[in-house]
Amino acid sequence: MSTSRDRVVITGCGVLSPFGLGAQTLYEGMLAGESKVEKLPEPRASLRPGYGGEITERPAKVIRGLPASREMRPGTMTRYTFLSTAALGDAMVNAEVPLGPEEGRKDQVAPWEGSKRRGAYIASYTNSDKFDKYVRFAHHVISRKPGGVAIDDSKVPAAIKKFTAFEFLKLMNNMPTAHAGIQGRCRGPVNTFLGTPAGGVQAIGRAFEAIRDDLADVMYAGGVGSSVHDQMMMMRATRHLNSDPDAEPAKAGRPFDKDATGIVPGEGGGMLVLERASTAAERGAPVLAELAGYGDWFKAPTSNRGLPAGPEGMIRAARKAMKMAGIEASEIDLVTALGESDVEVDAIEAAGLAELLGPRVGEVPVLCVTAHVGAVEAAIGPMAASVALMAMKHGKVPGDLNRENPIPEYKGPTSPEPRTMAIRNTLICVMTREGVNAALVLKAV
Amino acid sequence: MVSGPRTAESQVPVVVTGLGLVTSAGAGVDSAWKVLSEGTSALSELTLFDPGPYGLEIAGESHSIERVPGQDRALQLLDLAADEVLGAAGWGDTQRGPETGVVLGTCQGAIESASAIHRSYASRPVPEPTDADRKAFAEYRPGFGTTRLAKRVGAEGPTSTVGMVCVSSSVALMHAVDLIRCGEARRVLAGGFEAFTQFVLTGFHCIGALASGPLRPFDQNRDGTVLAEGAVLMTLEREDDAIARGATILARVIGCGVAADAFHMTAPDPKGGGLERAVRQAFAEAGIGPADVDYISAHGTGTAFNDGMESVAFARIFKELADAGQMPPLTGVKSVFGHTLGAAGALDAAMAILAMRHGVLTPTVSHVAPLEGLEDWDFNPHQTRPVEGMDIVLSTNSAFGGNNSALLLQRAGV
Repeated sequence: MSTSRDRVVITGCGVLSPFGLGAQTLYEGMLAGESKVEKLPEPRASLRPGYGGEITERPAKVIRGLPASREMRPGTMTRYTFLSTAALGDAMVNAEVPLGPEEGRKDQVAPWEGSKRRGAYIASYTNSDKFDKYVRFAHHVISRKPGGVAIDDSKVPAAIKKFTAFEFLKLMNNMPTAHAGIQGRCRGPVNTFLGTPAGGVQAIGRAFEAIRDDLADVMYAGGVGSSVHDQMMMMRATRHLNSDPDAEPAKAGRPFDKDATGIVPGEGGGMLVLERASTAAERGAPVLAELAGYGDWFKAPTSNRGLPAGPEGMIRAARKAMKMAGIEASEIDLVTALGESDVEVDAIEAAGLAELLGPRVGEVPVLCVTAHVGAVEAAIGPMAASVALMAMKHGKVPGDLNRENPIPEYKGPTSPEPRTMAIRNTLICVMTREGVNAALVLKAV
Repeated sequence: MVSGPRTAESQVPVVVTGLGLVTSAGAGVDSAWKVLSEGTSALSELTLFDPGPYGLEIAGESHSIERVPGQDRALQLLDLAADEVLGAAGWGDTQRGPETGVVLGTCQGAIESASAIHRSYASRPVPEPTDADRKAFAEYRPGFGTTRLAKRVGAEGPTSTVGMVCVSSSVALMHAVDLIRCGEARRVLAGGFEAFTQFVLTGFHCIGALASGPLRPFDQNRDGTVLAEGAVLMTLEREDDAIARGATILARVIGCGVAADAFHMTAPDPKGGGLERAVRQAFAEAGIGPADVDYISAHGTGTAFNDGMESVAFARIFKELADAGQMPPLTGVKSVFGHTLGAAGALDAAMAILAMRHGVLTPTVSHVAPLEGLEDWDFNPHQTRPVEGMDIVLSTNSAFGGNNSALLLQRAGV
């Protein structure tokens, strides 16, 4: 039975990134100073910027804990659902969630015991990479005319025949959560957050609240994102947000660097296993850290290129999280940031970090996953948190890739080499163009 | 920040102080209520595109807005609903700031416009973007409606966009209630919106879920759902704040429940296990039981799977009452407005609030023959009738993927 002030701990983290499966894999790649941003294959190579951090192989075997019945094959999932199920399976294994064979099957699945007290909150920008069959459908029936779009009704019957029920169903935005429900045996609270890169942190924060509110004992929470597909690359192209197509791919992701030219496409998924501390202790679960604070704040963006109105929203979100965790800026040893690689956005974020950290800004490393894998949308917070958990565990923080010439607003330390250090508290910050800001505090245990 | 078990005693009372909506009945609460209370149907011939290939007779198209080039239909609907709710609730400068949040549910957003542009960009050479392209791509973001509305009302508190298909807006309402209860916000503008899109219509056609005629919830002859569009918004706030500012309290939210089936990727658990858990969670939170429910506003999509699953769940939850001939009446408002998907849960809740305020039970239109074994249940198939003591309503919704929600609403003044 819960107690009113039970702490919430993180017992597992799972990642699927261009480096492969596992938070440790991503962490080691970052420690080695590697980038997985590479030239994309045609036809995407001709879309700006032509490169990105892509997960090129999506074999079924990377997904753990999901029954291998027909509807659960990766081919029946969108790119987003695949990312979430792979990351969640990894997190479950990492958290030592018992996976046993289900009667009559060889599948390794989680037990039903406790399922009513388990839930899943997952964030995603959307749940389709190329609109799949919809694009095909739309190509048949929609024509573009001056002033707008029109539907050619005469082509509808033929188009309908090319559309299948299953393709439609798998595009639904709650599919990552629906899969997580089955994969993690979650019969408790579920939610899918859409729309901004802060969504992954919001999902974790709300899951944290769900445990504190006694709605669940265990929550699977995180986010997925992909911007290496046509849809997102085109969306950014219309707003001139993509990085320079002539840049060397591995050097294109340059958070807080003067030579950054724009957003680098990327993709990934990150999931955490959150548990009530007492429940985790009962089952002898590994505890990676305490999730001690969460905060979010909305500050409407300015109309100019959709830039954040300023660092205020991010600062307030972080301060809310720190207040909840009962820590001061002087107690933060590591920060993870969005580091979009757009000089104007990075300048706002850097100014926010400077104000947040005060006199310690020159000492606290600022970790940016985006430099290594590109922009991963709603996965940025959960992936950054996973890497931070590895850094806290091993006492080593990856170096700052491609940050040779920091922008003036960036007052933090810069080191191409990993740093060996003890980390008491990590602040996970995500500032977005959309104005949604969210932050977490991870406390070492 | 409040923490601890959620019980009826420990919760900050949250109330509804304003409604704003656009449905197939037109713009405004009054338009919707008139059609529902008169027991007529808001469904009509589809004019947005040719319904012929789909074999459709009727749909829930909103004729309150026109297709305007360069303007997204879903956002148009949202704007209309926002105009009404902000006026009705009396929200203004006092409600701006960090204690105000916005949580919206939606399924698709501005998908058709974005797709047309997608086609242009998929052709090589890639064209130079136009202002229309930039606008469409910016607006397509699923969270765009939420952040735009947050900007409009000056909200700086929590903002979220919930993408839970048919339970999107009911989960959005519950998420909003949670934010108020845990102290993250004092007030939240919440609800859902959905525009009629040919993409979704085609999808439902392909899965064989569209009705050949009227939408007949819980009827032996039901053969599918009728898709619709709309936007439904509510202002939710702490009851003490609402009283202090002299706001009209429309209803109190006394219980919320969300639960997953964990049964199948798309199909519901035929035993209704997830729905039952959601309802029982809402009961526990409210500190009440089945006997306290005066009316059930069911999801009632008119599809074989959903209505079958719901009736099994309700039969189990209300078994003692049903056995004693005291099963609370159960209706489905989708029979009047159609299925508004991302706005459906909020629309059901809004109509339930109005029913309590007017002290009437609204009808399930087009319902003729109840499901086998449910002949004794009161689906109120014909016309609105007055009822005494309708104080507590249970509003439930379910979605593809096995996600279920249950909302308990109490009449203001009880």
